[in-house]
Amino acid sequence: MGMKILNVSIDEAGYSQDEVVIHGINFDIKEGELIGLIGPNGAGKSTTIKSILGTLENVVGTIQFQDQSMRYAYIPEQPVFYEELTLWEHIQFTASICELTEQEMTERAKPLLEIFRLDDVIHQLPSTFSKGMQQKLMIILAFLTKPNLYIIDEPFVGLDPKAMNDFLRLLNEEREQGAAVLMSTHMLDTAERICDRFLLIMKGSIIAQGTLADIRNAAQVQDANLFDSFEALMERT
Amino acid sequence: MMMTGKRLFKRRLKQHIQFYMQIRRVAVDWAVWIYVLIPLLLTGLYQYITLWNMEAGWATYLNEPALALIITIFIFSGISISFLQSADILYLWQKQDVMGTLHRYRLGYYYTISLVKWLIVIGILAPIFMVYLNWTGSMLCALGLIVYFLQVLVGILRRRFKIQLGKWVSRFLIIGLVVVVYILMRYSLAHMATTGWVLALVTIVMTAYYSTYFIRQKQNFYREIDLDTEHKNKLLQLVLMQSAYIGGPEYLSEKISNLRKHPWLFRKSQKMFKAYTPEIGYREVFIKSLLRSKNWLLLYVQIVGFGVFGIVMFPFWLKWFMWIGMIFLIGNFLKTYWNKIWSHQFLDLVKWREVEPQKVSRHTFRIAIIPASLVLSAVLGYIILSYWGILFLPMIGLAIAFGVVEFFTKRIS
Repeated sequence: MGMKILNVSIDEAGYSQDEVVIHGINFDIKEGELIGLIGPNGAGKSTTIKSILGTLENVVGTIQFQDQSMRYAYIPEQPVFYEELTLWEHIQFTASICELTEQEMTERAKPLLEIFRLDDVIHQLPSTFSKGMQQKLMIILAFLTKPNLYIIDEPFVGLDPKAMNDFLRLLNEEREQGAAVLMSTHMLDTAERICDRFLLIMKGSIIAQGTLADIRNAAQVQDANLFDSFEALMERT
Repeated sequence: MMMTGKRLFKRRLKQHIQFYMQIRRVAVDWAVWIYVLIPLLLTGLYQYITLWNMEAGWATYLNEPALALIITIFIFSGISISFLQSADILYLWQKQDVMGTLHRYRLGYYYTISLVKWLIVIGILAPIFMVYLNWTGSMLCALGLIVYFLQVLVGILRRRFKIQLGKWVSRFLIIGLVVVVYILMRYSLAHMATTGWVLALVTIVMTAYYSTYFIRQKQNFYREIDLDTEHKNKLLQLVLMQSAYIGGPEYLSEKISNLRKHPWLFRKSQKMFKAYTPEIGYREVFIKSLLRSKNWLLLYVQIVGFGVFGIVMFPFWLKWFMWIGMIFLIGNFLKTYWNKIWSHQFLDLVKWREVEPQKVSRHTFRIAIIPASLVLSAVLGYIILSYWGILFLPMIGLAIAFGVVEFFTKRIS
C-alpha cells in the first residue's frame, strides 16, 4: 500500500456536547486502500463519516489529510441535490466547484453517464428520478471529481446488479490510480469480497479492526466469514 | 365521551388557532413589533385620521376602478378550511351525522371569519367612501353586504373548483371568476346609489342558495385534507422565507414534490456564464434555481408589485420610503435565498477549494437586485419627473441597491 491519505483520531463526537455518539475512533487510510466500515444500525458509522466530512457540531479530536491539496468525494445513502437543477447542471456545478475545464468535465462525464445509462435524461430534474437513478447521479458526481478519497455510505441501496458491478469496477480503477475508499455498508458478503481492511464499530467505538485474518483472530473463530466473526465479536461486547 | 360534530369542530378549531399562534410567534418577535409593526400601525393610524379630516392627499388618487381592484383582491383573499384530518376518515365515514355537523360548523366559521375581516376592511375604507366619494351610510351598508356575501360565495366556489376540477381548469375558472367579480364591483361602485340594495339582495340570495347546496354536497376527504396541508405548507414556507434563515427543518421550506421533468427555463441546461469556477458555479446555481423556483420567484415579484403599488398610491413622502424600503427588502430576500443555497447538503459531497462567500454573493446579489431596483426606480421616476425620471432615477436606484447588497453581503458568513 502507498502513503497515508487520512488520519482519523476522534476522542469523542456527537450532535451536541451533551450527546456523544462515538468515542475513541482511531484509524488511517492509505493510498489504494478500501476500508469497510461495518456495524449494526445506530453503532456510529454515519456519525464517523459526518465527523470526517466536518458536518458535526461537536467533534473532539483530529481529522487530518496528508496534505492540504487532498480532496474527498462523498456518496451519501440518501441522494441530495438541488431541486431546481437538471442532472447536467449538477455536473456543471460540481465541475465548477472542482475547477475542471469544460473539456475535462465532458470527457469524464459522458462515459459515466453512458455506463450508468443516464445519458438520455441529462436535461431532466433529478427530483423526478427513481431512488436508483438518483444514487447513480451521486456516484457519477463523485467519479467526476477524481478525488484522493471516496467516502461512501451504503452505496448499494437502490442499485441494480449491473450498476453495482460497474460501480465496483470503476472504484477498483480509481484505487489502481491511488485513490482510497472508506465504505460503510451492511452487505457483509460484498464487503468481505472487496475490502482490504475492516473497521468494526459497535456502541460508538471500534471493537476490532484490520484484515479479515485480524478480525478472525480478535473474534477467536478460525476460518469463519466476516458475518460470523462480527457476530461473535458482538456477542462478546 | 361521545364525539359529536360540535365537539370535533371545537377541537379542530383549537388546533387551527394554535397553529396560527405558533406561526405568529415564529414570524413576529419583539424586534418585528418594534421596528416594523408598531411604526406601521402608528403611520396607519395617522393616515386614517387624516383620511377622516380630508387631509390625505394620496386618497385623491383612489378612484372607483382602484377601489374595485382593492375590493376584488380582498374578496379573493379568503380561504375555507375543512377541519378534517387523515385520522378522521374511517370514523367519519361511519358517522355521517357527525360529518354533516362538522360541515355546517365549518361553513359557519367561514361566514364568521369573513365577517370579522370585512368589518376591519370596511372600517379602513369607510372614510374614503364617505369623505372623498360622498357616499351615504346606506350606500356603504349595501356595499358591505354585497362584498361580504360575495366573499363567502367566492371562497366556497374556489374550494369546490380546486376539489372537483383539474388544476388547469380550476385555475382558468378562478381567473374568469376574478374578471367577473371585478366587473361586478366596478358596476356596483358606479351605480351604488340606484341599484346598491338590489345587488345586495341578489348576492345574499345567491350565497344562501349555494351555501345550502354546499352543505348537502359529499366531501372528498383526501382532496380536502391535501388542500388544507397545501395551505399550511404555503403559509409556513412564506414565514420561513420572510424570516431570516432560522434553521427550520428542511421539509418545511421545500415544496412537497416536483412533478415537472424538465425545468421551464434553460430547458437544455444552457449555461448562463461561460467560465467553470466555484464563484461562477455558485452564481449560476443561485440565479437559475431562483428563476425556476415558483414560490421564491413569486415572492420576489410580489415584493416588487407591492412596492410599485405603494409608490403609485401612497403620499409623496411615503413613496420614497416605499422605494428604499422595498429595495432593502429585496436585499434581505436575496440573503435568505443565499442561505438556502449555501447551507444545502449537496455542498457536503465534495471537499475542494474554499471560496469566499461574501465575494461570491456580492456579484450574484448585484445581478439579482437589478430588475427590482430598475422597476421600482423607473415607476418612482416617472411619477415625480415624468420621462426624465425614467432616465434619471434608475441610476440612483442602482447605486442604492448596490449599497444594500454591500450591507447584506457583509452579514453573510
